[in-house]
Amino acid sequence: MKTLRRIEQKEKTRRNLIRTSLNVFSNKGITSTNTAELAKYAHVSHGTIFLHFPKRDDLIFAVMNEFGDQLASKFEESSKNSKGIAGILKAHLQSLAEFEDFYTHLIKEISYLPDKVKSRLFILQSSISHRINIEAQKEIAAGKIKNIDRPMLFNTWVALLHYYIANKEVFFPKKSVISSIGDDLLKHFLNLIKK
Amino acid sequence: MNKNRCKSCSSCGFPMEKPEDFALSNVISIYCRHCTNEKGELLPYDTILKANAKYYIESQGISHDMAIKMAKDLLATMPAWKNRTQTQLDKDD
Repeated sequence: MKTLRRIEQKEKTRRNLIRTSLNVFSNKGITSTNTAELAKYAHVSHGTIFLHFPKRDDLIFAVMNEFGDQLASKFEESSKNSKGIAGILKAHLQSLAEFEDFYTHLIKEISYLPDKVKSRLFILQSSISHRINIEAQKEIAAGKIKNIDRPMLFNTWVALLHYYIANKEVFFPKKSVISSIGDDLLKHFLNLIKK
Repeated sequence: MNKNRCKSCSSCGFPMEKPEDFALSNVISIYCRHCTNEKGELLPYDTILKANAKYYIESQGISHDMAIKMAKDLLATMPAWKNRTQTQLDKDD
């Protein structure tokens, strides 16, 4: 019984560290936040972090996994009643809107993050591309949109979105990019691909 | 918290939300349908590595070599493959 409680407590502390780090990274950035700050925000000793995550990279990867799982879940929920390519792209925007601050830091800092974080981000993008492609193929077959190949369709959509997100301090300081211009970007992209 | 999170495959990290995403459509499975055979058994590492690399290539146009590298980096973090022994594909770098 005592062992079970200890395991539960350990898991609780681990979850607290991941959740706290996700919040702190969202506000302050990933590469610029050190483990001492994270320990302070999580109300644990500095050493506790390393009991759960031997290296700082391991904690960043755990946070990336948490973000990936939550985003995938939100995307799934948002796309349940969506229709066509417009619906699935809207669901993509809605799911990202919830994590926009973390996502902004992630795409701006990805070159400085561990390779495993990069691989995880890109596999997440692949699963979103896969869902978009299912809807795109139906509309290509119906002659509604241009026959653009799968990587180019997804990469063009993401490039448009990322340009504004990566430069949000220029376009929309202290505001959400997706709330401010998401609908316009969607409309513009749909116009670009329509036949 | 957990109710807001998608389960992900312990072999490839694929998000599993709907029953059909899981091996044999069994929601208690820790693996996805892509990583398992018709009996629900985990496929060999090399098969999953190639499938993951193909996924990167087809969905985002990533080059073959980079896709293999990224798939290896990702699989190395997965519970199913963390402690596996090297295969020929590892030595082909």
